Amino acid sequence: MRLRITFQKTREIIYTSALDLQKIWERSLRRAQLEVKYSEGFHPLPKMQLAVPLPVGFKGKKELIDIWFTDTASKEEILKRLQRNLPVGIDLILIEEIPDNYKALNGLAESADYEVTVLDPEINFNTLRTSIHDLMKNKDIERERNKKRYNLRPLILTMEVSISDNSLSQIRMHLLARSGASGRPDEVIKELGIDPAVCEFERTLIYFHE
Amino acid sequence: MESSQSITAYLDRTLFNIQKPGRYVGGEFNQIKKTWDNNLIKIALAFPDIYDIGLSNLGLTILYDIINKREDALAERVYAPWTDMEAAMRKKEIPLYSLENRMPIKEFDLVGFSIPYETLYTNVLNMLNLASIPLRSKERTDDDPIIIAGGHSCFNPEPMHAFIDLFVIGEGEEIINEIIEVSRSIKSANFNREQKISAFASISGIYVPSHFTVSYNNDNTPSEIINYPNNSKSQIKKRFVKVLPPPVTNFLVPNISIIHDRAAIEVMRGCSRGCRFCQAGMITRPIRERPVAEVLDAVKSAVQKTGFEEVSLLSLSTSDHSHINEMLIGINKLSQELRFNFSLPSLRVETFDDHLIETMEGKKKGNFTLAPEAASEKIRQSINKSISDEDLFTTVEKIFRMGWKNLKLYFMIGFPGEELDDVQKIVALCLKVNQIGKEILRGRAEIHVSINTLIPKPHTPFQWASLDGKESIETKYLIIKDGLKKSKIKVDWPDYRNSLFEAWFSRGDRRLSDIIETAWKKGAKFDAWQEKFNFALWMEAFEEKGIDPYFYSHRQRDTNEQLPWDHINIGISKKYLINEYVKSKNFENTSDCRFLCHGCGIQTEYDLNCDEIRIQN
Repeated sequence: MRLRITFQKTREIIYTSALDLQKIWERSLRRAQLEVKYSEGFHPLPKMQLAVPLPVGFKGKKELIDIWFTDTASKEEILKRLQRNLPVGIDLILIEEIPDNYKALNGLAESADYEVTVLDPEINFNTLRTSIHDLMKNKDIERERNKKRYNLRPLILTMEVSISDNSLSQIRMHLLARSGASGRPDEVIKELGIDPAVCEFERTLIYFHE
Repeated sequence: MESSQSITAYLDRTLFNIQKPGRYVGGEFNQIKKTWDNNLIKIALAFPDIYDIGLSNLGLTILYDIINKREDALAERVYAPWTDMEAAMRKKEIPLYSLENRMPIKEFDLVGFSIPYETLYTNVLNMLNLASIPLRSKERTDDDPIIIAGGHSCFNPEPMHAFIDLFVIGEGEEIINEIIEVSRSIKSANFNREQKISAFASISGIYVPSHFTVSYNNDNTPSEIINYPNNSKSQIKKRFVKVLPPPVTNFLVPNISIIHDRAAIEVMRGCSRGCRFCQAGMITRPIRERPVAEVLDAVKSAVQKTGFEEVSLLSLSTSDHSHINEMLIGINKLSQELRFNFSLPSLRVETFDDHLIETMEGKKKGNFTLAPEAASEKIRQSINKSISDEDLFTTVEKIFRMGWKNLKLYFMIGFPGEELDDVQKIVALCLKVNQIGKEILRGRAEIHVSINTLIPKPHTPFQWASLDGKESIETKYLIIKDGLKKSKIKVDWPDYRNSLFEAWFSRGDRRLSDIIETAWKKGAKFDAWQEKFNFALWMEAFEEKGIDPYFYSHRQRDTNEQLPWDHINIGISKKYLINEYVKSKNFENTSDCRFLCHGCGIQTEYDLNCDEIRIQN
């Protein structure tokens, strides 16, 4: 039974990398004593797939994981037992059965929505709105990441800024999230001249192509 | 004062630019976070190295469990921040804080450091400084927490005497409840700092360095160690649990990858072999075995409560457990049922029987480690680790036949009385092992030889011996390196400067507190990290203070000399240690004391019977 689980990632666990998160799920499944399908070999691992990696330090509002269960428990029971055994900060939202031969989760992503809250009240909303406007007018934005030059601009689909309830600037951006063509919101933030350390990042939605 | 909220707000604005930020936030599965309540005794458990190394420390894990089970106390954790985080914290004046409630360390009643080895000393100072706690015990005020230290390096507490208020000599689980009781009584009594410390001094096994004075002879050796409130030469006697309590199984499960990322179940404490270089073997007596049923229950419970995919069985010599086969059969069965791997880090060559190997059938084969330590019969007798070449080769053959391809062999050089011919025998032995590997696995066997330099340690028969000289060690190392050059065997050996450091501080005296502080002020920290260890800083510190470091390392001590740790009584008599030292010079063996008592002193000192203590059912 292949189950697709939608979960939230907040609090301390946002500092866990995508790779380490894999282990968190494995260990939580073992604690919940839920039967899952295992890979072959000397070091069998539970069969599971996480969607596009979420960068360290980012919250996730609707993250996805597929897990292949062999347990006889109902979906509801699985949800309950799993939730009890997950570390603080991972909250399960939805669990649904999907066809076993459905395409792999990690290859399907197309784009993603991000919400970036600028925690530094010194950063002026109007100035920010102007810089975003100017940035979006550019055809090319040359940047370098991990010693590789790339063009950031085509990775940004849309971007807008608003004021949050506690009067901080909040930037919403829709970025490409294909493997090999994926935009990082912290790169956009740096391009706007803001230190990503003073921002709170949240991925709010991942879009998949059918 | 910084509050928990302001520390959290700071972290939210800082961690993005920090490497492995998961080190600084807590939130692990099985973490215990109590409400910060004024009535509780608050204990910060500190490990003076980074999270990745400190989290799995078994001593602190045990204390965390015991303290948090009490209703009147809480324990929270703190580790040394790595240099990037330290710089960020200092820039914004964020004090060292605990992971659970994110409270400044200064707000705790007690801070307990686990200090297993000497290379952590500067990190202790650095952490106190980051916590805004005065470095020296005598500079602290009534508002500062009481600073406690324990762990193997504290069996010679003297080099750190100036910085630690109380040392726990022995096993923490035996003494922690008494420490909390005293903390409670002094909390209500409104004592000043001196009165508080005196209250703790009444607990047996607690060493208060400020209650002792040391005088020195002209040659810088100690002349007298006096307990001045009593004006007596009293000793601090090690504490230990007569029966090992059931092991902790609800380990913290890290959210990031760490060094020992697995459950650790201690199957036995102490060792009966009496290897003369081994400090752990002397200070952890008497031997206490855990009953098989208790070990199996613990392994099962640990896997279920943590989800760890690996369990490590800890002890100084696991295969010496009287029911090792029964235990392994049980664990093997459990491991198939619950899908986990297990490892046995300390196996002795001669106890490695077919049965033991069979339990490994079908398992993933990682590294296999054997520690013959010496290759010549003479040195094996001298260090009291007598194994036969025949046993060793048979074991190696079995290991390769079972499918292990990576074999690691540990040897030591620099033993008193060692000659070049003894070192040459290490080469011959390794080549023979290589030959066996070739025959069985053809080209696929990988052999790794690790050479260590003997560091004479306090409370061992070698405590009077000199560290071998630099040239001698280098000559010996070259013999091994050249001898193995044509084979595919990989060899590593420590930098002599690291050996010197360890030798100076393990047998150091009170004068070294100044050196530690001076070196720390010059920037020394993370001395256990090869890329951070700065030997030149230490030499500068010794020079500035006019102390000759070689006094501690390269001096053959007289057995009549007053040793800086003579007031620390581990239950092993000096007479026994001297006798063992003499036997080592005569290349004489002392047999395993499970079968014949050699009168080390532990039975008489504690009025106990080792046989009764050892097997507990």
